[in-house]
Amino acid sequence: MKVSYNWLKEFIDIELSAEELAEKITMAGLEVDSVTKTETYGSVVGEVIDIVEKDNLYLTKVDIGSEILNIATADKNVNLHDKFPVVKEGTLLSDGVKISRKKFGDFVSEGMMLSAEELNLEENSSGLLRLDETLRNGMALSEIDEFDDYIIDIELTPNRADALSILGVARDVRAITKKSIRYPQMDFSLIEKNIKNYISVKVEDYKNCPRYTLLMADVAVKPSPMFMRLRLLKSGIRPINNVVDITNYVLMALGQPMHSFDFNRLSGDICVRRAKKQEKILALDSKEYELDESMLVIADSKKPVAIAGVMGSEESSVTEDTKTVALESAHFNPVSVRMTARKLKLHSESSHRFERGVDPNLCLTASSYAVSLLEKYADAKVYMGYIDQKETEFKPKTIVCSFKGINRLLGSDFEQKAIKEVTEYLDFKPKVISIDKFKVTIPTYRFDIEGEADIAEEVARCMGYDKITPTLPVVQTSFKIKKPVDYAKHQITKTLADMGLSESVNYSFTDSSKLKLFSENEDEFVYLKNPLIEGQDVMRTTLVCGLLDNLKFNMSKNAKSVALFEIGRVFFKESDFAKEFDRLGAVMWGEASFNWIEGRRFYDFYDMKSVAEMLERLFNIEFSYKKTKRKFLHTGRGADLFAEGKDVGFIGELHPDFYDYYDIKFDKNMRIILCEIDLNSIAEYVKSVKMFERLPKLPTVVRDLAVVVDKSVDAFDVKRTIELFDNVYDVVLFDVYDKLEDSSKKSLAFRIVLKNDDKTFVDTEIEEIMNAVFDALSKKFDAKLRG
Amino acid sequence: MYHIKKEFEALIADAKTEEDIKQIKAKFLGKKGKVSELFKQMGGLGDEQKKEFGKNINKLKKYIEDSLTDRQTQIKEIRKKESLEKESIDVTLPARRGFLGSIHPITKTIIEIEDIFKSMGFDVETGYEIEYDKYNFEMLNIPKEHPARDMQDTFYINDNVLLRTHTSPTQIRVMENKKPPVMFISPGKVYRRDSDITHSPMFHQVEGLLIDKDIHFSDLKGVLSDFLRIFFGDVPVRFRPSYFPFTEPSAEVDIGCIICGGKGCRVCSNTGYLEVLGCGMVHPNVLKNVNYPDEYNGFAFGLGVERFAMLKYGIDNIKLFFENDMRFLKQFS
Ligand SMILES: [Zn+2]
Repeated sequence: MKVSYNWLKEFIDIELSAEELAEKITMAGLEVDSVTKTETYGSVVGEVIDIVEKDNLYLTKVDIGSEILNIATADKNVNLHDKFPVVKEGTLLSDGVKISRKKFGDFVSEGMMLSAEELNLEENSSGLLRLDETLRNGMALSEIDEFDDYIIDIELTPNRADALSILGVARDVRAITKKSIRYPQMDFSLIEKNIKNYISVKVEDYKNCPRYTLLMADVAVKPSPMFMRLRLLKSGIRPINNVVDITNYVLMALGQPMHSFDFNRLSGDICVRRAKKQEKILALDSKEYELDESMLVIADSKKPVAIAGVMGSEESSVTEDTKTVALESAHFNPVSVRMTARKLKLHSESSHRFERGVDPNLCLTASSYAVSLLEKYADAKVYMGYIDQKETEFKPKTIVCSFKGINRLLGSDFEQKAIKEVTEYLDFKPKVISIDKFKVTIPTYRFDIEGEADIAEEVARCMGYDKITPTLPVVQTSFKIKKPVDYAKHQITKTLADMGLSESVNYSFTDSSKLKLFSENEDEFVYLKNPLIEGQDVMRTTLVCGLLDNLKFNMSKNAKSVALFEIGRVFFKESDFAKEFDRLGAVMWGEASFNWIEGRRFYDFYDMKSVAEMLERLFNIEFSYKKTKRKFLHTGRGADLFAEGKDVGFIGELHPDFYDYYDIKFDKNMRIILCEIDLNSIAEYVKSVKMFERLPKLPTVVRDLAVVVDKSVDAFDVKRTIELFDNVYDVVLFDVYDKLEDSSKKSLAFRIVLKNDDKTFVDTEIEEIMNAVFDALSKKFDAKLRG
Repeated sequence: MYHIKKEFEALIADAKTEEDIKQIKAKFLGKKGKVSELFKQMGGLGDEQKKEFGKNINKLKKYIEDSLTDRQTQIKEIRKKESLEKESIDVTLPARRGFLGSIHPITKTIIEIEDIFKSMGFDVETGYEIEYDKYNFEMLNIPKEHPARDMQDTFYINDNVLLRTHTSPTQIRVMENKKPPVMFISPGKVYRRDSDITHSPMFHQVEGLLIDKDIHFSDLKGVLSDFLRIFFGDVPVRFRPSYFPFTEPSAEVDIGCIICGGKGCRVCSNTGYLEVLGCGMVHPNVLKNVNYPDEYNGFAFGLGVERFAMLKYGIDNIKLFFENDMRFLKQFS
């Protein structure tokens, strides 16, 4: 909300500068976004005394008192004798633009007429700023108060509806500075006509419209006075005509949304009722809205004339021809207004306030202020009497608080007297009722105050949060024993980073059409009801999609080597809710090394396998690697991972067919390798601590063994067979050779470390063991010794 | 004799190899060498003269022998040095290692935040990213029609299930399952239906909750001031009244701008302060919702990890976190 510093000063004396005030109220809970100084640039009042139109330009002569200037303008609405702020050539505007002499044929423009935007009075102007014709030509704008002002932009939290007006902000200023509030003059006189003879109001739904008041007056519609127009501009409201401006002015001043109907455009009496199904209304924003039965409307005998608390209809609105107005000042249920505004996607200054809460006791004060202004600026003749429909009185609630309780919650040491004084200046009328208890009466504009905690906050914010000295609590608590995955995530991250992979973080939602490529089970997808964009419509069931997107993105940036991993959640539908799993995913592509020692090498399956093996070591588990069944992996170059018989993930090359989906050219040297492992399932199989294994007492013996086997034999099985021998301490597979004469065979070479715990080996024993090993291999795998 | 010495000195200065030394040795000290010749000349001299001459020749001989040995050692050393020099390598070449990996700045920041709170005795909890409306809003004192729901544009799965808009549901989840006292933080992803230069539809928060008997707002100030000073260095910290439906009193916490040192700059919109987290004393309604006894109260806080990372590393665009450009990520190795 934008607040004029000058206007605020009409309500309360302020000895602080605008910036100091902004700082003070920010620290009291009204957060100031910005303070903008208005500008005048030495501009003066100029009167247009001649206009010639030429090529969509208006070449004018402007009387600025001391001289007459030639000024060209593009504003169509410039008429003879209109007055505008004028600056001469040479003036420097705040955006760095210098007004210079400009030639339009024979016409030399010697200055410029300004808009409100250029004077920092509003954000976007559509035309020049029209000044009062009573102002003397040549008068400096800086002499007029409204042009020498600050606009304080306050970002109000939704609980502080009470501060959505100049009066509301002034009340907070009072609580901090302890000055008193000045209320505006609200006097007016009445004419013979009595409202009761002209109109009646029936409220059908008091729950949603607890109070409805109406006043009437005969008026003369014309532009409102300049000060009012300027104040509205500074508040971010476009001036329209005096009647509409006055209702907006009262809204800004006191916080009561008001609406003026053209009485002669209403048919019959007013009824506050629910809208009928599919009933339509053409609102003041010139759009038609279809209503439903949950919405409250103000209707005449024929149709709705306003959406209650949101916006009036165009057909009942005040125009230049309006002679008599009916002035609505009502109280609507916040929830009803909020739901209606949301359904219609129609938000106004009025709905903004009603849905946060407007003081039900403000209605008649506001309409009195409005008619007093109408009398002054719209030659209003106010009718006798008023309509005030309500079922109940709106009584303030009382709360009993404890001084000690407040200090205990805050950890403060405020004196009773100080606490009492703060609540006095907040108009809470504190009454001490016992040695530690006091009762406060909460004004009906403070919807946010419910209990002692709220009073404590009021005390703290008015005293200043900085008055509370920081302390440290001592808490006796016990910690939960966690699953290994919870604390291992950071360790996996650190290890993978050390292994040369970079961590990525992707959105949890993805493109359902892409996800379908990687997932068999579409029924398990969790779709978003309201995705932001089409390509983010479903929660991921795999990390692979995001990682492939990352790969593609980096390829477009000419990356030569990509090795990424992500630890994140995947989501599966479970009846109306969802299951979440932690996964580790990785992608590798391109150069695995590119340096002066090793030269260039590309990532392959075994680089990725190091990720899986790292997890085996970290969690003390063992995966079995089986030929993959996943359709998006290369059938011969992929493995599904099993832990204790359960499928926990995969590693492998992306199937060549899938390159097309990602619009990546298949290159047999630079393959895309993927990996995804479910960390939650692994957690179930994590073995407890790996126990210490005694070192061999006697010296070990090293022997090499090279065997030729069929290519289809898994090296793992051969190695495992060797490991099972009692005397075998360690086995290293150090060579695989598959360019043998018989192309169906391969050679595997092992370094075998033998131990004997009883006595030192003799050569014959070693030979015996090695023979036994070889016999086992030849029986099981038809292995031959490599010749 | 003088000439012999001069000749020797000229030759030895030129000697470069052991072969040279050998030849010089033969030339002067060999059987037919110049020194032996001198001895032969001694025959025709008188006793006194002979004695004197002999002494001088011996002196010369000794001088030549010593010089030859010295020179030989010298030559050996030069040779050794030369042969090591030949094996020189370029010590400025990079070390033997593969590509460097990296930890994402968001994770780096979360780890750092966790470490600080763990050292203060906070536990770490995880929550659900897909949540019931009940946990994300209602139990946190935000009923369906509450205007505070406008503050957070929500992704829905169905009418009652949504992507959590903050990490606060973890407060409820933990309190429902654990008796007080509780003291934990909970980092994680959160989602809001909002995307522009400063907003990402997914981002990260760290939630914190401490519930015990007799916890004060001053404790909240103490814990968070210490945390912020450890994380950002010795910066001024200020607490400012604010509003969250699930805390009362509520506060926003600002630190002195670490970019301009409080003088005012673009990053802090010339205020000299940066808003870094929201907090407050847990609202009595929230404690009532989880059936905690009246004598318990406490504080909660929430912070945006991206904001912390952006300030810490000087990152100026939130999109960078989720593009996963290797050139960006590698800067955090
Ligand atoms: Zn700054």
